Amino acid sequence: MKKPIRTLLVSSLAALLGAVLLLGGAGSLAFWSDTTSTTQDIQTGSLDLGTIGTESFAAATIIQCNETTCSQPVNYTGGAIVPGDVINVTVNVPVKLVGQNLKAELAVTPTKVMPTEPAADVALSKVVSIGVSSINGKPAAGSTTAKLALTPSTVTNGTVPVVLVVKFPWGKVGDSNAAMGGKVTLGATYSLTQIAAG
Amino acid sequence: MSAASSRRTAFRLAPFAASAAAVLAGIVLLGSPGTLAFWSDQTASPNQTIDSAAGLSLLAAEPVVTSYAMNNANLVSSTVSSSTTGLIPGKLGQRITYTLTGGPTDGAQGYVNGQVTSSAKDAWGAVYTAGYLDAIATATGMCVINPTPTVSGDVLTWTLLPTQGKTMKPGPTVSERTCTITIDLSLPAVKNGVDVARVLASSRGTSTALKPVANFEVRAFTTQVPRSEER
Repeated sequence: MKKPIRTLLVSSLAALLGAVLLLGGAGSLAFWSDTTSTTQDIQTGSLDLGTIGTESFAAATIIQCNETTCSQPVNYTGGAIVPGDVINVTVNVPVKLVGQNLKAELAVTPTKVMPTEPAADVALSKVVSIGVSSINGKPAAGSTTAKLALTPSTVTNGTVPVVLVVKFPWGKVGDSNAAMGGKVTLGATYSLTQIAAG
Repeated sequence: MSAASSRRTAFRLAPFAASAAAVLAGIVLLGSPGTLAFWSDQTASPNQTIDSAAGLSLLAAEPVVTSYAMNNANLVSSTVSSSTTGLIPGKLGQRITYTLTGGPTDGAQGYVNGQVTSSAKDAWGAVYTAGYLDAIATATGMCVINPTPTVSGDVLTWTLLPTQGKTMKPGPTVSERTCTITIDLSLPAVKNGVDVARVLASSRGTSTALKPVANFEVRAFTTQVPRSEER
């Protein structure tokens, strides 16, 4: 090997060794350092509407109103209704909201089955109405869909009370005679949808 | 096109194909209910069926007509009738009884509304228009009637008055859902110094046939009592 080449090779190896020592030798750094690591698990929250069964139906009261006066409310135990009756039934809707910034809108849509027969059922279903009186204690007017924004802190004991109101109008004399002995089928659908927390 | 050329073309199109596949996958993911960008849930409550009550009913029995002896010994006609039926001045009155009954399983208490009307017949002019006929209505049980009729031409009308407490109450106790209306008709022997029997005997002539005075008819209906007014 020729001298210039050997010299170049030796100097290169020396430079490389110096660099390795400087960079790779922990105890040979020019200043001190240390490293460590940590992990943080972040979990997703949850939004859930539980199953609504008959056990979800809480207090139900009935009053009767004509054009001028209403009777005192008494417990409604499922008896037959007559014109003027107004039934308020509280449904405890199971709601689970978990998440610091979770905000969701509970929408309640009353439903009524419209039969085609017998005539008494048809007549009764035409005159009886169902609406939402309140959600979580907040008044809600309307027979279509009522909505209320919820956050985890506004849900108490995992349920949101929804008060549905069923009305059989007093009407005029004989207005609802055709509805005698009929039956009407009522219900409600519930949806819970996340909305922006802001 | 050679095989090599096809491979080069496919190689050039590969990035575009991958992009298209990614867009398609994104659309599928975003469009699926379970992968919405925000959360939602829904449920429904079980349907509830509510029955309407059987309603109200009112049954009117066939009216009963009876005779009753009048008690006006102090007013004696100069004519003694041999008849034993119909209206006999000072002696025999006629009582028409209507019985109305509500249903035992009616859905609510009911007020009894309506009226009793009379329509004049042959002898009306002689006994009523002339001012001799006394006609008094009374009601017992679960209805109230105005005892004094309104007069329109030859028609008398007694009106049933819905009254709190006097309501047809469904249940097994018949008396709680029964109303009895009576119309008492009588002719005094003497009225305002007039010997009624003699006048009527004169007006009817020699005929001994019964002459109808009037037809009476009850038309009643029941209306639901508001619970706030139930007694």
